[in-house]
Order: sequence, then structure tokens, then C-alpha cells
Amino acid sequence: MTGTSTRVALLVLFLAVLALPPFIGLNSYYLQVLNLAWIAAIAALGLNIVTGITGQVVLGQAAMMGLGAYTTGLLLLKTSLPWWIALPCALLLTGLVGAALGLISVRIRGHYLAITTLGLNEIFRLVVLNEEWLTGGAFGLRDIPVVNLPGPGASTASHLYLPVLGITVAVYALTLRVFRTRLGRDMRAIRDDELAAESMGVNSRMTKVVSFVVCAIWGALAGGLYVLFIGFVSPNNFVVLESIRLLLIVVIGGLGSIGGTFLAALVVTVLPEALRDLQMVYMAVFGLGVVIILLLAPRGLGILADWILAPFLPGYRDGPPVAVEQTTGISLERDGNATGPATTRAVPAPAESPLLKVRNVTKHFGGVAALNDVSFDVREGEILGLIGPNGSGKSTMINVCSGIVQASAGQIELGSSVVSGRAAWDVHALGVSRIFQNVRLWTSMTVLENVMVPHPDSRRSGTIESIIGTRSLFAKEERAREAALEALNLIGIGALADRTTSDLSFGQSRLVELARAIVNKPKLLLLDEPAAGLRGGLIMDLADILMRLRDQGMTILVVEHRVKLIMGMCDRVVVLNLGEKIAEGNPVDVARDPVVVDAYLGGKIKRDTTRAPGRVPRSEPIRSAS
Amino acid sequence: MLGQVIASGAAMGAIYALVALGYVFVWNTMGIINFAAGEFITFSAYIFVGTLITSLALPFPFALALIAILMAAMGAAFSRLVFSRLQRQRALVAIIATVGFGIFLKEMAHIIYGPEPLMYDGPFGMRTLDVAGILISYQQLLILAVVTLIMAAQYLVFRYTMLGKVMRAVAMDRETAALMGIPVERVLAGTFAYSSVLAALAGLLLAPLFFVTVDMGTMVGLKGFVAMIIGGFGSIPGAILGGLLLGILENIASFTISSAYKDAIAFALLLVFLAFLPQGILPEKVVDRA
Repeated sequence: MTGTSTRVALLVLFLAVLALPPFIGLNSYYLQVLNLAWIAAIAALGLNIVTGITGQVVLGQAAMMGLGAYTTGLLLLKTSLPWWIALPCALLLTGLVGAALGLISVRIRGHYLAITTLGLNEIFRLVVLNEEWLTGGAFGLRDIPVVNLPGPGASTASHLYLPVLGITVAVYALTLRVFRTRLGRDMRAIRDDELAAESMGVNSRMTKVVSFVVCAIWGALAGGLYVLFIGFVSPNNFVVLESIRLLLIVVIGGLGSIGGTFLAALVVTVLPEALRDLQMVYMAVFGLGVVIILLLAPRGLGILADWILAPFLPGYRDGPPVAVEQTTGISLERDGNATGPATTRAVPAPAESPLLKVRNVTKHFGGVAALNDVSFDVREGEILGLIGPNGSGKSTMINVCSGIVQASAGQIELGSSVVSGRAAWDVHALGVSRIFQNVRLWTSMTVLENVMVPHPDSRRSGTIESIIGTRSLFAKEERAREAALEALNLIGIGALADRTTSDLSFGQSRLVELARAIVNKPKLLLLDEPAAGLRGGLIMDLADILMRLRDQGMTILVVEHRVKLIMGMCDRVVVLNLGEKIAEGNPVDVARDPVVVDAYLGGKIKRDTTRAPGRVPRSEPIRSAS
Repeated sequence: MLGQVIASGAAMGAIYALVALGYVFVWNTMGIINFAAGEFITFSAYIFVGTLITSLALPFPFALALIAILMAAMGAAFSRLVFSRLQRQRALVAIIATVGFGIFLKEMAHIIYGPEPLMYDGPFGMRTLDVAGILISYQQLLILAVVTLIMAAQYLVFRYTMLGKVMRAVAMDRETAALMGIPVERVLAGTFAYSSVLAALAGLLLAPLFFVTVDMGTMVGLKGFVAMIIGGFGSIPGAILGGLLLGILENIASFTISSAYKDAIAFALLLVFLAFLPQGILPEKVVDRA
């Protein structure tokens, strides 16, 4: 069997083999090559964090390395600081540059970010090349005092081998921990679906800045080690091609795979040395290899590495795979013991105080007014149905309430705080959660991780504690995990917890999304067509669970098209048509309102006797697909 | 002197415009940015100078026709094998894969033609023309003439033929176009072939100005992309305007500020545009394609 102990034993064996070279008298040239491989592994890991894990394309990691190298080198040459002060100073400076780049990445994405970072790398090269008074120009910095530590073997390369390897392994262990806890989940959520991440409380701006800072610091650490070890830097070490080589490592290792990056760094650095005769060919092979890996085997060397490292990755369970029973949907029996007594309320409490106040909200898209001066209240503890024909502004209303679209005019208040004008993650923190019309899960993550992301204990973990890995972080992780399992059990899909969400059916995904929306016990739940795509029986189960949630004190605003569902579960209904509110009241009254009947439910068909029967103008059918 | 700087900047800008147009076509039909565009320039310059002109000693017009056919065939093949597969992928994957493919092309040129730079004087040699005190080389005139011709022909094709309508249909909605019986794969291959021909033209027009080296096209390719962003992402008139503007501004700035930082100017300009006018000068939404 290949249980945890086997894999851990393999990992220890692998690391032990890596530690051998200085003791078996490998010649110093090969030791140097290996040292360079570990240094590349650190820089590529930084790049993997920002590109592979957070999904922001960076084509300038070599400049980060260069900044770290030149800063360390200059501090050693021009001041008499010892290396253990110079190196942290370089990390700090590069980290600040990374933070600035992170802020840029909030505004510039995708292709723009790729060309911008590439351009900055080129600008860095030109500055280093031309500002000779500082950087020594094309000749670089020479005669930097090399660190010498006692160690096995005779050469400097041999003395430094174990420290460099040790630092590399430590950096990887740290990154692996960050990957599987709060910060890593947020990063992956942003990569998989940034909009969903923001609506579920992930501060995407902060997370991106942090990932760029970590990327920059790992890059600078690699550059600093290079200087301390080689004692020489030149502009040619940090050109765009070097950035691309680091990207090659990340891709060959499998984008987002931490262990894969380590293996790929070894392969990409050592292979060209081993195959010196083929020097002409190897870059061409690597270039083509990247294309082939991306198209045919996107996990790259990560397949191997992630298998060994599985015990340290999310979604791992020791022992034989648990037989997942076929879950059909919501199991209401488990509800009671999972969340305490569900007090059933016979009659909706009348005239309760408003929880959400929508006041004169207007939203223009170009010349189109999707919402025009809409006002209504959602009262505490009610289910309010928001209905209307297609294109009447229902989804825009939900988007405005959850903060992913900002209203052009008007104001929205939740209790005593103003919602409008805030970022989506701040709105979530106030207690507003939502699901999307088209299910938006983070598909590379497990079901459990999806549900853990919005949990308050995940949200409250600070960035620093997430990186250091304090005891309180693990306590919060554990609480978030338990609450997530509880939410999954409440919805009846606890058995799916360790599955990857990309493997789920549409109905299952919808239920996971619902669990994700209620795990933080929101004050207000926004549902955009929650029953879309669900089969009949499941729809009534859904209505039941929504009513139970309401009875536990949750307030729900739901957009739906199915009249039966609306009539069955809503306490009140607001009707929108062409961006304007045309009715509000209890479902029975609204259904009789002639304006509503005319606009939405389907009025009397006025036969125009002058036209052919086939071209009768009529209102939109109520069950039309949207 | 400024006139001189602007004239040679315009010639360079015309090249950027050609490259930017290649990006626009591929973006509008495939939805990917071909980061290997610069290497297409390098590769075709090598074939043109190394094989067609030097080894086979073909006269310029024959060589011109042959390189266009060759690069179109290669472009169509690469589109089928690699690029059309990338359009279903995330932007991140497409960017990295095209960068990887660029390295492959560049290294292939290196393997086939060796490390020595190739030299080529162009069809007119080094002769220049004196226009009111401004010296313009025949090569620069050729560049401007070819680029103007291409723009005009392309405008006519897009405006008045079925091919143009089909390409625009694929650009607007690929699924619907396929359902309406348009052979989408062939249109994509054709578009990519055309953008490869544009790159080939850029390569052979540049060859007399630079030495033909493995790095010759890289910067030009990237600056073509910058020109496209400055002009308006995905806009044809924007690409032309952005290319000319970038060429002229770059020349003026390197003349007045610092020639050592010439390659940084395009990127600095890009940052300025992304900060203050991120949608470019002629955004695609407002201006209909030519």
C-alpha cells in the first residue's frame, strides 16, 4: 500500500540523497551546478506563487532576482555591512518593489500584466547596464566578498552546498504550508474565479499584493544567495530570457505544483550540463517542451511530486479511498442535530425592522438603465422574492447588493452600515453572502476547501500569522474545517468533502455553492436563481432548506422564475420590470396585481385581428430560460 | 534635424504597425496574443536572407513572393498544430505557450543558420534620397510604400469581399459562425497565415536596417504589442496609428533624452498609457474595424 508512511519515507529518502553529494566527493563543478539549481528553484518557486497559484502572469522574475543580487552586492561592496545584514536589507527592498508591482497588478491584468512585467525587466537591465557609476555597467560587480562557512569537502561550492540546500528545503516547506492554509486557498480562489472569491470575502487586492511580495522576496533571496556564493554579478544574469527560463521551470513542474517546481528546477538546470554536446538543441527542446506539456500534460512533473507530497497537500486522506455514497441532495434529517434546534415559525413575524434598505438605486450600463430609482426593504428574518421578466434588472440588483457592481446613484444600507461603495469582500464581511446564477465554484480546489474560504475563522487569519504558521492559525484552520463540514452535512453532501469540485455534477455543485454561502452564517443571503438547473424533487428540498435557514434567523433575498416556488416560500415579493419596481407586497396580492400580471405573469392575449395568428405579440412566458 | 528624426521614426513605426496588425488579427479571430510574433519576424528574416537571397540568389521580387507563400504555409500549419488549440485555454496558458513556441523558433533559426549574424543591403543598397534637406533611404521609402499598400489592400478586402465578412463573423461569434456553415478552423488558419505574412514582411524590410540575428525580432515583436495596446486593444486603425506613434515618439525620445535607454522608451510609454488611457487611442468598441 502507498499510505502516508510510505510517501514520507520516500520523501526523507529523496532529501537524504540530495544531501549526499558533498560527502561522496562529487567534483566542485557539479556541486556548483547543483547549487545553482537550488537557487533557481527558490526563484522559480516565487514565480510559481504569483503565476501558478495566484494566476497573475509575470514575465520579469529575473529582475526581482537581479534587484536582490545587486542590492546585496552593493551593500557588501560599498558599506562594510556583514552579509547577514545585507541580505535581509535586499529582501526588504525587493519586497517593497514586489508590493508596488502587486498594486499595479490590481489594475492591470492578463496580457497587460505580462507585457508590463516583461518591460520592467528590460528597463531593469538597461538601468543596470547604463548606470555604470553604481552598478559597474556591463562588467557587473566583481570581487564581492564570498561567504565561507565550515563544511565538508575542500571547495567553497562544497562548503555552501548543505546551507543552500537547507534554505531551499525550508523555503519549500514554508510555501507548502502557506499553500494549503488560508492564504494559499485565497490565492487559488483568485486564480480559479476572482469574482466569486471577492464575493466570498477574499480581499483580492491584499492577496495579490502579498503574493507579489512573497514572489519578490523569494526572487531576491535567490539573487542574494547567488551573490554570496559566486561573488560576481553582471546584467546578463538577469535578462528577460532568464525570466523565461524560470517560467519554463514553473511550467515543466506543472503550473501551481510546488513539488513539481523543485523537480523541474533540477531538470532544467542539470540536464543542459549533463548533455553538453547537445547544447545547441536544448533550448529549442525546452521551448517546444513547454508547448507540449501545456497542451498534453499540464501537470508536468507535478504528477510525480504531488504524489509524494500528497500528505502535505489539501484533500489528502490516508488509507483506502472512502466509498462515496451517491448523494442525491439535501438530507433534512441531518439538519436538526447539526445546527441546533430549528424553531419552526407558524406565521412570519409581521412588520419586523428592515435589515437591508435599498434606496433610490440606479445603475447605468452605457446608455442602458438596468436599474432606475429602485427602493425597497428586506425585513429581518424574511424571504423576499425578487421577480420580473428577463432583463428587468434582477441580477444587477443582486450584484449591486453584494458589491461586485457599484450603483450609479442611490444607497444601500445593511442595518446601520452603508453597503454601497464598498468592495465586495467588505460587503461579505458585513454579513452578506450570495450564490451565482451560473454556479461559480473554485474548480481546482476540494469541496471542503471551497466551503472553508468564506468562513469567518479563515477570513480573520492575519497575513503574517498565515505565513509564519502560528498555533492560532492552526486553531482557526481547524474551526473553519469543522464549520465547513457542518455546513456540508446540513446541505446533505458531507460525503463529497474531499472531492475536487471540477468532478461534480451541476446539481452537486449548486449545493456546494449553497453550503459555501451559508458557512459564515450570513445575516443576508442573496440567491440568484438557486433552483436553475435542479430537478423537480431537489427544488422543493431547496425551498425547505431555505425556509429552515430563515427560521434560524437568516434573511434571504431570492431571484426566481418558478411561481410555485415563490408562492410557496416567500414572505413578500418585489417585482421589477425594465429596471423599475412595479409592485411589492405579499405573494398572493402581487400575483393578482394587474400591472404585474400584464408585465410578467402573462396578461390576456390581445388578438390583433389584422395579423396572422402566428405573430401574436404576447408577454414573455414565465418559465423562459434566461 | 527633427524632421530627419521623425522620418526615420515613421519608417520604424510602419514596421511596428505591421506587427501590431498581426496581433490584432490573431486576437480578433482566436482570442490569443501571440508572444512568439517577434520570433516569426526573426525566423522569416533568416529564411529570406539566409536561404532565398544568399544561398539561392533569387531576385528580390521572386524571393518576396516565395517568402510570403512559405510563411503563410508555416503559419497555417502552426495554427492547426499549436495556436488553435490554445484558444480554449486560459490566457495564462496561452501566453506561456506562445512564449515557449517563440523560444523554439528562435533556437531553430540558431540551429539552422548558426550564430553568425547575416548581412543584407536590401534591394536598393544604401542609397538615399534628399527631400528638402531630410535624408531618407530608399529602404525606408520601400517600408512606407509596402506598409501603405498592405493597409489599402487589406481595407478593400475586408470591406468588399466575402472573405472579409467571414473573418468578421468568426471574430464576432465563433460558435454561431460554425453553426452557419463557416469553416472556422480554416478561417483561423488563414488569419494566422496572414499574420505570419505580415511578420515576414516586417522581417525582410527590417533586415537591411539591422543585422539578421536571433534576437533581431524579439524587441520589435514586443514593441508591436505595445503599439497595439497604445492604439487600442484589438483595433485595426488603432494598431496602425499606435505603430506610427510609437516609432516616431521612440525616435524623438532617444534623440532628445537618451539613446542608451531607447528600448526602455516603448515600455515607459506603455506604463503612461496604462495609467492614464488604458483603453488606448482608438478603442475597438467605438471604432468599427476598417
